[in-house]
Amino acid sequence: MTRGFEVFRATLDRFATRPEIRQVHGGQRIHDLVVRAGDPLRVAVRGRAGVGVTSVIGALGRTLPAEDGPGHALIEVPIPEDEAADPFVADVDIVVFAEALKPEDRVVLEASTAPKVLILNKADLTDPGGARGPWSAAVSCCAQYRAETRVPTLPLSAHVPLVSLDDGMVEALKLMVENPADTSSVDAFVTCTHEVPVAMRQRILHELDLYPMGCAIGALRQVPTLAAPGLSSLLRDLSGIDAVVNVIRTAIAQGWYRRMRAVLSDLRKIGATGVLPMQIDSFVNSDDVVVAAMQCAVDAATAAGIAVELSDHPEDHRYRAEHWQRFAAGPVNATYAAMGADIVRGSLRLWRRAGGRA
Amino acid sequence: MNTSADRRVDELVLTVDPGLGPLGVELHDAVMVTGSWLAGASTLAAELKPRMSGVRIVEPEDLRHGQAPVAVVFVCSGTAPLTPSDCGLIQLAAANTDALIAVVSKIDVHQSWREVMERNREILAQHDSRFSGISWLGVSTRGAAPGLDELARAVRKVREEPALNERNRLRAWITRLQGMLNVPPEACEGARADELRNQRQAAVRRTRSGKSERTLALRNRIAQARMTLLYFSRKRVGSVGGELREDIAELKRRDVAGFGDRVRSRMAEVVAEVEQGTEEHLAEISAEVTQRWVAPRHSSNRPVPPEAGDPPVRSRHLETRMMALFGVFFGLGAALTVSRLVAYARPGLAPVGLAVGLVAGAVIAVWLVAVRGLLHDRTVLDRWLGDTMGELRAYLEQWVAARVLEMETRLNADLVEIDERENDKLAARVGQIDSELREAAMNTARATALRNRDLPSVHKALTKVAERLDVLVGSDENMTS
Repeated sequence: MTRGFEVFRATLDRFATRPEIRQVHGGQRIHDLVVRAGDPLRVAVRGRAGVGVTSVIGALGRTLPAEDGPGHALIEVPIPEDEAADPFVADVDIVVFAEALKPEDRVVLEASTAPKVLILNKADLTDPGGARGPWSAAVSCCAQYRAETRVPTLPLSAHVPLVSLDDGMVEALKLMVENPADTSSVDAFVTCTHEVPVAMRQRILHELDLYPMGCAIGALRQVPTLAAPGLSSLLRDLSGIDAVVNVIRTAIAQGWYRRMRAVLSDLRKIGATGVLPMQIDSFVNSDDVVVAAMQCAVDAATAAGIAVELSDHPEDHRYRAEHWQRFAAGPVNATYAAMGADIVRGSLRLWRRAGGRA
Repeated sequence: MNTSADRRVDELVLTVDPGLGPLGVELHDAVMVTGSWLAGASTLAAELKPRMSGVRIVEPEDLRHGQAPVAVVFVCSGTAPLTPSDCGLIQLAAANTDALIAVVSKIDVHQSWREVMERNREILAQHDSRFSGISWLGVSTRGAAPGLDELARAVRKVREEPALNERNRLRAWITRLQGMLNVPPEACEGARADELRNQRQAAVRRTRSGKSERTLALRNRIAQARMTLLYFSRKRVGSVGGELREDIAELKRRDVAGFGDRVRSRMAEVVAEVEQGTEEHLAEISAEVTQRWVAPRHSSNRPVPPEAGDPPVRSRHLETRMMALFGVFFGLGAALTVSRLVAYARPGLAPVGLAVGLVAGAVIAVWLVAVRGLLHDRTVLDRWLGDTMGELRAYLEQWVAARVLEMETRLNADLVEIDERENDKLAARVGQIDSELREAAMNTARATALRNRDLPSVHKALTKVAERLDVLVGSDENMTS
């Protein structure tokens, strides 16, 4: 949960515990809404069978721990989904694919309205035998898909961060530095004659696969003293997981921001049906809520790499409002425009509170 | 290639109903290598060519429409199991060919290719039972190219199978007959009818929205014009009044008499200007609202400058008399003062002083009376001018309002006429579309009836072909086993 959403939720809780809300008929709906606002963010990891959704969830679970309080929950959703079940609506959609984006994946991408991230898993197996190497091939492939789908697309080798290298494996890899094994194919690697025992070779193959193994051997050739932890972290750096986690963090911050917007609009709907309309209206437009909304928007913008100037000088509030007004009017999508509008509203409230005058 | 076997197959169908033929698929002696995107079909085709001398290896783009290969090699990647879209691709590739070899590629880098292959076999068999018996192979094109020789052997074996051509032809027939069964009755007519219905709806909507748009535009533009024109006339009268008022401030005595005429001529000018401006503006609106459907007509309501009487500058007898009295006493006082001054300074010149005093007194008296008269005239003229201009303004405002109202009435009538014309046009278009729709419906009904008549024969032919194919495949399997 982002800091801004925490502030928003605290404001919401204070509102929900007011005595009149307990007493009025229909107040239960407000209470339920507030409780639901604190649910963990649902991050759906979707993918066809065999593309490695489970290992992506494993890798993300290790590198992107849920924060204290209601964080996010990674949920595995197969493609195509069970036709009998309702389609799963998530707050953030991560679509995993391998090698090529199939029509089934595209359908999922088009159907989803949540913030999306596209992951090309098994990036170390892209274009095997190509002159430029699998990783460059995967990066250029991702760039193409990104341009085509307008969704951030990143390469990943999800099984690599999950590898638990031990000294035995490192020793075996060191043996292969001196005396290279046959790596022309996975079968040849296991069946060839080599001083490393077949069981160990199978284990290495199973956990690392050929390309990361090649990387590890290359690293050991450069630095023969490298131990298991150092090698693990090196391989982890090479797996692309950090870039993926950054992008997912952005999407999650956006997800929280959208959750905040959804809660406010639900609250307005409840007010429109006649349950405490005045109180809800004054709450939704109160300084606290507007400033909390701004903080959520600032979190989302910061996570997306757009710096927000947050100084307390009255003129800076006004300057920020002007700046984000221009931003919201510019060529940005609806979510960013809403973010800009929220920052403008919050800044103007802060400006007025600080004694600013038009 | 039209052998006796082909003719035998065709007869099988054509004896049921000669209307079902011809097949429209020509068997081409080539092996097609295709696959899902990025699975490596092109590379495989290129690698297969040198190993299969004497056999033509093609890719889908090398075949024209209506050409079918004798055997299909479908390549899917060992990355992940088949998806429904891949199954659709396989079905499309093997629509007119019964001999299919499925290949899992890139087995040199995928450890789990054997599991993927088993899974693919299950998925494809589940997708269509005709694929349940096909052979699956794992192939890599890199390094020692494991599996490639097996694939070449398998392709050769498939090509040498007896009755392969017959089987392929039967498969093509099955695809064609099934396609005939699956075509929805109004597939072709339905699209046309939908298009017509959309056109009809669009025409009605266009006419309706055009009508309301015109009404709205008229109302807006008339309200705007009323505002603009009233303001224009008021401003024009105001500025002319200001000019004349400035003239009055510098008016000479001899110009007083002609001032009334000058004001009248300026009024006539102003009226003409306002008329011209109003007519131009209204003509513009008329053209805009009616979109030049109706020629501009001139109105009989022309403005006439209001009658303005002469300024009442002459009727001032009492005041003249009073001023004369004032002047006389003032002059007398002046004469006395002058004569007394002269007598005091030069007692010898007292008579001359008296004479000079009398003359000076008389001159002062006359000038005073004249100037006072002029000032009085100016005041009177100013007041009169104010009244006249007020009258002119009221008249022009009234005229402009009346003219705009007249215009509005006339444009409303024009709009009704335009709506009538549009409605006529719409009725004609809708009638045309309706008749086309009726025709389409009749065609559909006819086609459906025809199809329903053909349906039993298609079913019968399909059953026959399928039975024959089963027999052939069964005998093949017996031979291989």
